Amino acid sequence: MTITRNLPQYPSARRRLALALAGLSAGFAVVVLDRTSLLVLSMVAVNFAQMVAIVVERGLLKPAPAGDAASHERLAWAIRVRGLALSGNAFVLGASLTWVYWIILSGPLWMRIVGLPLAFVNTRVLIVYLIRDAIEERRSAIAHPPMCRAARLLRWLLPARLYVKCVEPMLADLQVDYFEAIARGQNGRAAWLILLAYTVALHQLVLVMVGGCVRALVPWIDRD
Amino acid sequence: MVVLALLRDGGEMYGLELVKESKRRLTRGGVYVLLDRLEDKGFVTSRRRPAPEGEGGLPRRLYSLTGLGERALSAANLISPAPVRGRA
Repeated sequence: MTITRNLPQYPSARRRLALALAGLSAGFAVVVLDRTSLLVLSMVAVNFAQMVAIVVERGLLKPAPAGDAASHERLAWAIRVRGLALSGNAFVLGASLTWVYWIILSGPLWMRIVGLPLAFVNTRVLIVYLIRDAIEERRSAIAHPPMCRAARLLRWLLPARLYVKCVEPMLADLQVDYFEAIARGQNGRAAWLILLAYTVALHQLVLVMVGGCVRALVPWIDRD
Repeated sequence: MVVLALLRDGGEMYGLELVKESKRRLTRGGVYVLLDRLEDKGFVTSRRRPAPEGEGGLPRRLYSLTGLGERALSAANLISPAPVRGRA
């Protein structure tokens, strides 16, 4: 059985944007202190680190996800390292934007006329890239097995016996089925299993609520 | 009886395995309630198996046949015109 679960996540779009904004401020410091060589060096270093992290991660992904603990741990470390590289990249990209705007705005009039629209387009592309990549990359790693939160809620709402004997084994089996479908690339089936799990959970909840109402009404009916 | 026969043939099994092995004779929606009732009657026994370390997920429940369940299955096979078989 090939299962990829509980892997660390890449930095989210929100975190990357925050880092890019921090980078924008850092870019000011770089320009004011006239340390552009530092900026270029950090850009090269971050991009190199990201490239190495991607190669390592892809190399680990090919034989994996093998399901054994050692390969799972290696993959988790590769994702952590790449996550750091991605965070660094967002920061450096933000700083480089400030630098570009500074050069354009401090240049002659023709540079401002030609450069500013290009810089705007680049800024937009950068923001879209940060968000889109963040969403797509986060899809490749499963943070938690599905129905974890719903299971916690059901454990609280349903009678203990019903939960332990019927609902929990069913959800556990559905989780395993879900991971098998993901490992085989059957995304449609995986989505269907999630839908099925939620439907069954809701069905159980409605049954229990109806049962509770009936039990509450019985003394009233008997009294009549 | 299908559940008992499957557990006799396959040893310890999960609910999902029973559904898969039964070739559509059991459904996901009904098998867990059925297993719970069989456990109440003493025909099957179950134990929780926690998810492997580092993998997370809910603990799965493994079901196995008891001596009483085996005798019940033998008795059912004796009186039934066609013996109940686990794997179709």
